[in-house]
Parts: sequence; C-alpha cells; structure tokens
Amino acid sequence: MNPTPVLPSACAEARERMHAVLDGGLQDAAIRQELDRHVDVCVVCREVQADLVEIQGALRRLPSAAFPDADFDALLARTSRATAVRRLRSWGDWRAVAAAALLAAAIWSVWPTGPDQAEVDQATAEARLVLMLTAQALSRTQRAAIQGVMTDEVAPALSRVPMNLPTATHPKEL
Amino acid sequence: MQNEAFEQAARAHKDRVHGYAAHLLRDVEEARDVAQEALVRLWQHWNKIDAPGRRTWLMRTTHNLCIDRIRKRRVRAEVEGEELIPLQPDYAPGPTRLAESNQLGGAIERALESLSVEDRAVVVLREVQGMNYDEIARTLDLPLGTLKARLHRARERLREKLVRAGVAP
Repeated sequence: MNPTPVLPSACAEARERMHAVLDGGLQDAAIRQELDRHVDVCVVCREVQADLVEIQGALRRLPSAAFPDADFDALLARTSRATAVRRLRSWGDWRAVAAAALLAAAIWSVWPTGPDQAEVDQATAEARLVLMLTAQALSRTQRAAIQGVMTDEVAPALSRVPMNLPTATHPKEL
Repeated sequence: MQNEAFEQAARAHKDRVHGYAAHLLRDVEEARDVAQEALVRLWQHWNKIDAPGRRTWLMRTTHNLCIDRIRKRRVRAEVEGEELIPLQPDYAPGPTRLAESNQLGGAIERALESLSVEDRAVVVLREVQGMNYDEIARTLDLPLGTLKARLHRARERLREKLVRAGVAP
C-alpha cells in the first residue's frame, strides 16, 4: 500500500480551509483571501478545490429514494389496527379492575372484624381459669404419683430392712 | 389524536428515512423494511419523544437499524459465502432531478457506494440530506470534531476514487 504523500504545510492548510468553506463555516474574510491567494498560485490545490466543489454539488443533486405510497398506507393501517387493539385491551383492563374492586368490597363486607375490649377481657379470664385448672390437675397428678411410689415401693423396701432397735419399757431406760 | 399526529410526522420524514436507508444499505427491499420498522418504532415510542427531537430520533433509529442489517449481512456472507448484491437504482427520482443530473451523478453514486459505511453515513446526512452538524452528531453519536474530520476525509476519498476511475469532476 502506497503511503499517503505528505502535503506541504501551505497546501495542507489550504485543504482544511477548502473544507471549512464547503461546510459554510469560513466566515473570516482574511482567511478566505489567504486561501484564494494560495489557490491562485498552486495548480494542484486549485484542481482539488474545483473538484471538491463539483462533487458537493453532484451529491446535493442526487435523486432521493421516496418511500413507496403503498408501504406508507400499509404502515398507517398497521398503526391504526394497533391503536384499536390497544383501546380494546385498555377497556378490558378497566372492566377487570372494576370487577376486582366489587369483589374486594363484597369480601370486606362479610369478613369478621377484629375483637373489641370486652371480648379480649372475656378471653383473658377464660385463659387464666384454664391455666389454674391445669396447674391443679398437674399437682394432683404429682401427689398421686408420689403416693404411689411411697406405697408401692418405698414402704415395702423399708419393711425388709432390720432395724435392731432395743426394746424399752420405760423411756428413761434408753 | 396520536394517529393523526403520527401520520403527519411520518409523512414529513418518511422519504428522508427511506432515502438514508437506501444509500446506506444499497438494497431497495431492505431500505423499505428499515424505513417501515423505524416509523413503527416512532409510533410505539410516540409519547416518549418530544416533537423537536423526532427527526433526530428517527434518523438515529434508522441508522442503527441499518447498521444491524449490515452486520447480519456480513455474518451471513461469511457463513454462507453469499455475494452482496449492490443497490439497483430503481427508485424513481423526479423529472427535475433527472434533468439536472449528469454523468457525474452516476459516477458519484458508484464512488459513494464504495465508501465505508461510516464515511457514507456522514456524506449522505450532510451533503445529500442537508442536515446540520449538530443534528448529524446527535444522530451518529459522534463528537463534532470527529464528525467534521470524517466528512473532510470522506470528501477527499470520493475525489480520489473519481480521479482513479478517470471521471473528471
């Protein structure tokens, strides 16, 4: 690949100014005059400038590819259909929201509300009674269990142990 | 309400969108598909785009859709060994434009087609469609300096191609 030739600095600067003119941005009269002076004496830059101007003109005259009318009509039909579908869907959405609201209202009307203070007090008293009765039952159970152990196991065991106690007729004799 | 406003906007921009896609893609059928898709997307995002920004939004969408198509085309060509079919200029220019055009017009089109997509995009938007630099910069998401440098370079390349082809501007 051939390397890009390096332009003399005056030509490189002139090229930049040519493009600025084509862009419509070179408003400074003094700089425009410098460009004109250079182009007057530099044949290569003069040709380049003429070519660039001609090319820009040709580009601006290129025919435009119009969007076919049939395609545009199809596009409008498509967007109109989509709008209609969107409206139906949103109407359906509204009906669903209204139905859900009615259902919620109906459920709310029959759902039991929270307890009042009297009910709380009643429940508390009943709970205490239950706890007391339970404690009594546990206590009786415990005594019964102990009684059973003493009677069935401890007393018989003691009766088998020889005590060898002295016999005394009078307490002072001990 | 949206339908009427959309139709007005679409009618105002449809040819610009289609013309840009045609130059970029060099394929008439694909250009029509891209233009349709871009306009449909405009309709879909209508409420999110303010009126002054619609043209830029539309051109940027068109550009991105074209780039996507070109990428897929390249992948498909690599995988299947397809040849890229160049644009057949079968779109119908108006009679005034035909009268004004000359031999250079055909050579310019061929030279334009041979530019890279990036260079072709800036040339078409600036020189063919007449957009200003700020709008082109927003469309292509390029800094202004980069944009101007790319356009200047593209002009030089067009000239080189024409000179090499023996077509004297």
